[in-house]
Amino acid sequence: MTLRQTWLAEGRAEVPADAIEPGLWEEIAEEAAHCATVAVVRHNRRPGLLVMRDGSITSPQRCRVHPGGKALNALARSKVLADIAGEATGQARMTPIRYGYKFYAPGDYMHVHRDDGKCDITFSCGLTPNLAPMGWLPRLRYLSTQQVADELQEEPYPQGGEEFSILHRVLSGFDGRRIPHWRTPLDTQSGEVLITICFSDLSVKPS
Amino acid sequence: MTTVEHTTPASVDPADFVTSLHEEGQLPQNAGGDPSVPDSAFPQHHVYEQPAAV
Repeated sequence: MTLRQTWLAEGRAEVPADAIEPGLWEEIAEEAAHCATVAVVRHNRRPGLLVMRDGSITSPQRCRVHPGGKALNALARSKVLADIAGEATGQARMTPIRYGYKFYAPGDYMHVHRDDGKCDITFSCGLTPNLAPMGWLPRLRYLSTQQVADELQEEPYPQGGEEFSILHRVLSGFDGRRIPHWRTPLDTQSGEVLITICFSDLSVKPS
Repeated sequence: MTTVEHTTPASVDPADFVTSLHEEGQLPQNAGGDPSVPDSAFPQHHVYEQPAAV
């Protein structure tokens, strides 16, 4: 299948393993190690799912975050990522609008949610090797936000979810603003680092 | 009658603007795709710890 067909059928877009120079991953790892020392705690304990007007859903989470620096910026601005984002989603010109490191300590978690409505595609990968797969529910992709919230209100980690592999230094794109997804509490003894990059089409369209 | 001069528009990459915001710390601190709801929206439910000075 083409990138576009896979996106339409499955809500995902794979990035070739060799798309990013190994040297850049090393720079990112070095940068992340520094950012970890100044990352901000993000601990939303408001229970349940909160439906937002842009179609997103926010929910409890605990981790530490940092928006990254020059190395992560270079990754976010890789032409290959923008090309894959555009081809998969059928958008004309994709720009990375949000990106950063998420530092997971043992026990850190993220309940089921839908990404910000501006995220046409969300790319993710592990900077460290021990991140378990993400959970997601592609079958709920085209339900309304309220329908999703009603269905999952009592289930932070929904039963019947599928696994979305978070690969080590190989990015995968997914339809995060539509497909509910989550991370169960990190069950390793090590701290783990997740990279996320969201793209949006910022081009001005004729009305 | 006003004469309108046609000049070649400068090529602008919106990623430059995003990068500037990013470097100025103007992007949401949640760093993922999850909704950018400010922590201040849930003051009774958030623990918002400042990182220790390095």
